[in-house]
Amino acid sequence: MKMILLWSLCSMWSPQDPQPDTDVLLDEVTRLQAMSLQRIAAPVDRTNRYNDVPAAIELGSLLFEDTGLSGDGKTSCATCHVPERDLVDGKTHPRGVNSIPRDTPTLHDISGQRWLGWDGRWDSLWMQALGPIEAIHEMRGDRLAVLRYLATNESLAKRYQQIFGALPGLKSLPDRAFRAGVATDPWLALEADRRREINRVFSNVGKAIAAYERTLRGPITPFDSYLDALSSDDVEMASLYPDAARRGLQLFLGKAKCIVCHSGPLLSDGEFHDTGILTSGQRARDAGRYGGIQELQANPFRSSGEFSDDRSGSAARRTDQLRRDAALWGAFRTPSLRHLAGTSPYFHDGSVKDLRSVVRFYSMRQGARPPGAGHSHQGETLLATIRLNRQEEDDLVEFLNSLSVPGSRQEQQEEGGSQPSGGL
Amino acid sequence: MIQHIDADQDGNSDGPGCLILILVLISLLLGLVLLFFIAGCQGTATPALPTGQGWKTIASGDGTYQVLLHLPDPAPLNQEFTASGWVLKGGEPISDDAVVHFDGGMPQHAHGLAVPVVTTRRPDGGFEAQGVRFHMGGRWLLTVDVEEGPHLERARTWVEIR
Repeated sequence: MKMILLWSLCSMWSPQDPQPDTDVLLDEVTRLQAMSLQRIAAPVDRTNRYNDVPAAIELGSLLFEDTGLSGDGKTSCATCHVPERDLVDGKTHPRGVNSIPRDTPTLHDISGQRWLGWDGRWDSLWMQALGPIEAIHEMRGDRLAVLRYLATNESLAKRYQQIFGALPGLKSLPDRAFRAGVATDPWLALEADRRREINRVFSNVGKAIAAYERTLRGPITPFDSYLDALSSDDVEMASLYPDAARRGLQLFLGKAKCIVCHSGPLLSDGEFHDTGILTSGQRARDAGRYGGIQELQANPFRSSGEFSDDRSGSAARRTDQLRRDAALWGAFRTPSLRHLAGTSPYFHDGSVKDLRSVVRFYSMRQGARPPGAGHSHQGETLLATIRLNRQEEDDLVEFLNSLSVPGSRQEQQEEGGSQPSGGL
Repeated sequence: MIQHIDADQDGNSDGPGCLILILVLISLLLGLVLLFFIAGCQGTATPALPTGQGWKTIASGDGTYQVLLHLPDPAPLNQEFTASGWVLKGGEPISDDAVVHFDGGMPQHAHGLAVPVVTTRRPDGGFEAQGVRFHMGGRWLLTVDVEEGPHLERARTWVEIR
């Protein structure tokens, strides 16, 4: 009798044998929450009127893979956003004068983002496309070099001029506009109109690349298929979604509260939070959104700037109304969770290699800065220890894996990130 | 004997009754004009203040103002909308010179709106704030500050975003 009782108790408490949930379509409340994560079409971006111009998309696809835009002639957008690897390179890249590491984000469904970059220093996709071209740790290019490259490449020049009109002449142009991020004297000595027409060409390059990047929609994932099943009450189709992933989804929406920040079609609120990640081995502090706002508002290619095609629209208004709030120090953009499995490493600094470690970070808060010890989100109560058990961690990881097409996970395990696991 | 009958006599068969009628009509007309004049002298008529779905009525901290605040119902998650409304003082809309400032935040998460909004006064005496966006689900604390010269008062209410 004692043995039977013991066996019964063990059965009840075994973390490996969760109670089966027969309702594959979920209860009504959970189902509605889940369906808020449905995919949607790319939002309209009026700051780039070339977004839907086929010739611009075609030119953008060529420029995306063209190493001629870089300073050393060896790097292109596709060098870090590798098409065959979920549009990431599995690495982090140093940023700014302090060489602080930043993870390469995927470009899948990138057009849905309100702000671009971990610190939101760009407010449109075309503005973002220009950043890495001139970044000292990335392509090391220069807008004058880009103009020369376009003008002297017959095929590209023809395509460009068909879309944007004539290219300006190259006569009496200085070598570079910027050196190590600082404007050169010869560039500043140019007449304002001359600088403006060169900046116009540079912005058009960004607009062509952005037009192409808007077409980079991620593939349909098991989770998308499950959402379709929920929408159509298709029990048979819903039952194809793994039980563990469904339990993980319920945790995501409920106990783990992931949905509070990872909401909507991109599973991201698109805004900035300090999650208490401590980047190991870094002396310099990453200012995150606090610095990002400064960069954004000083950039002539912002949505409210003269090269935008909609200087008074909602995107421009948002940028102009941003304030540098001290509480935004160290806050980073909530990343989209779509196509997650193949986009290791994780977090803004790429300090975590695998999804289980990500889940554990939020579950146990191991290695996280204590609440209230940072510069921002003092008093935050959301990021408390939730202590998921092993089974719950497995389920949540299974759900996160279902946000990618099968095979991405394998890729992640084989090739992994380049950074050691930090902060855990 | 030939009787001369005046044409007038024939035409004024109602006699003084017609004159009285004309006088009455003129009096009525003058009365109406006077009524419109008096009504006009009393300034702008109080607009019909809406109530119902999406409207919240909030009293300010010291009870000077009554804020009628309108949000979409339900207020959307992570999508921009316009918050609008009226501020009343003694049942009348506040003067055009008064400043109204709308704001929102999540005290539990120690943050406000991701993008601050600008509140403007409308020509009809109301106020509106464009581009309000509740980027996270949960309880948001909404604030409407009213500033009339040196006098500042605050009205607050909660809204649950799902």
